[in-house]
Amino acid sequence: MPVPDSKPAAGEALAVFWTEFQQHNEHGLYKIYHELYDNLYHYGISVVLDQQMVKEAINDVFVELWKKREQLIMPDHIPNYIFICFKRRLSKLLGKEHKRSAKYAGQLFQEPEEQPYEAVLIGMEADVQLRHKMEKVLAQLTARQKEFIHLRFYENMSMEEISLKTSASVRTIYNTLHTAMVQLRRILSFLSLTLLWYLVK
Amino acid sequence: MNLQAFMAEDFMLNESFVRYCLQSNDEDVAFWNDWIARNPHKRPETEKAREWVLRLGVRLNASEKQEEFNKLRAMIETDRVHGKRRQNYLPYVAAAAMFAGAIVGAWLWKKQPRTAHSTAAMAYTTYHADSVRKQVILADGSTVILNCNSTLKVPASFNQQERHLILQGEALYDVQKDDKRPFTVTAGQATVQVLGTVFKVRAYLFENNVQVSLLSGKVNVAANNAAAALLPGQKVTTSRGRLIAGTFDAARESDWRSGRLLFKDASLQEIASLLEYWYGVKVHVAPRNYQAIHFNGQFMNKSLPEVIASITYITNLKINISKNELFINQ
Repeated sequence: MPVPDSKPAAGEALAVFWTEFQQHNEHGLYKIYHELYDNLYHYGISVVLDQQMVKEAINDVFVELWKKREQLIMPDHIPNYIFICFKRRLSKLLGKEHKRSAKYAGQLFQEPEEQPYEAVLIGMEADVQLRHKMEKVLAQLTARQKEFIHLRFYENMSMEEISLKTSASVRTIYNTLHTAMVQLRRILSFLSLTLLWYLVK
Repeated sequence: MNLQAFMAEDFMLNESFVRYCLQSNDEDVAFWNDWIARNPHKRPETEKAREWVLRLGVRLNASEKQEEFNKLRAMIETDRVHGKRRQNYLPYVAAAAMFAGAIVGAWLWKKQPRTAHSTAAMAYTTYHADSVRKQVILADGSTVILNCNSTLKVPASFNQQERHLILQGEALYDVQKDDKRPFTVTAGQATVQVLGTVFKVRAYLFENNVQVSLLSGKVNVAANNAAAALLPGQKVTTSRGRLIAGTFDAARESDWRSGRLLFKDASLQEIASLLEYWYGVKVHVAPRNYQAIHFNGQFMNKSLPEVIASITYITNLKINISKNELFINQ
């Protein structure tokens, strides 16, 4: 589970926000929300591939926290705690969705399975045509390219950090990513061309 | 670094640009907003780059995130209202219940999904104007001038299948035409159904009635068992379950709309009624023999305390505000 490696400073700030919201100041809660949103969203999407459901579950978790603010005690690790709440909420929503489906009945309370990054990228595209293109382009990219894309854009690591992690030089990372971006860019322009063609037709 | 030669892929690999896309650094956001504004010809490339940064990062864009945050805020505010001020909420629930009971079988019922009042109304954004009026721009582009001491509730579901608002106090609506999404305002026991139009609803609790004035376009008003269609220049007032037709002073409404409060040789009674009309406060005048008052003055979008300060300064009247009521004395 991708619990955010929150920097030490962020952890302390979260504790301050937590105290604020327990003292009935909703802005403390809002700050935690903004701080964790992207991470929660990532995790949710990788589990259910359904934007709507993920967005709903995140808001539900924070409304619940607000309602229970008087009973809560500050957890040791705030992001961990919220992630667990979020995971429960997601499996509850998933359970609701598949209530009548026997296939899922057995795994209601099991740990949801995370999809790999590539599957997420493809699954996120609502447009069938675009999904197909995405699939095709990702198949053309090398493993190295995909690794860098994942680290740079999904994990939001800087080029230096990627360089430390993979022991490739910043220059190499830059060039590898650049080639990949040009390849990616082609599918988008190709798609706009086909759209144009449909319009003209 | 020649930004002019940048293509989408170059922007995507610029770390400052990515921080702008993720809005994680104010300086970068400011820099790129400014740069893009000054180089509009690069906008197609920067937009493409931004879209890809968000897509590869599997992130929501700023406006999607804001939308989610607004939903959360609406839910938490609703919870505050329910949890802390249940009593203030009761009259409103009672009015809604009365209204719901009264219109069974009426045309309105058919037009509104049943869930609109029960579930969707639970999450709403509340706008409140105290001593200065407020302008609210709704998601559909319609605008509302919310008068002083007035509250407007906008359900989170506004502009999805329908456009429904709940008013306490007074507001002027300038409604964008949209035949697919009916626009309705509930105020006390009256409901106004709108068809692209400018109209005003006044429903202060201290006045015990609801007034609907139509400036242009067309509206239908329903209250209890009565219903009426208004033409521009017409006004209806609810009275014991009935609707009484009348007209309104167009010049006064147009002054109100422009925010110009005008006292012309005004007597004590005129001052009292104008303040009551303008600021939505109950005005009490202590019975006694007053010296004759002739007050002149013009105020553009001024708050009630400012206006009172000038009146008391010139006329030597004493005016106290207490709990949304004014007490005039000498």
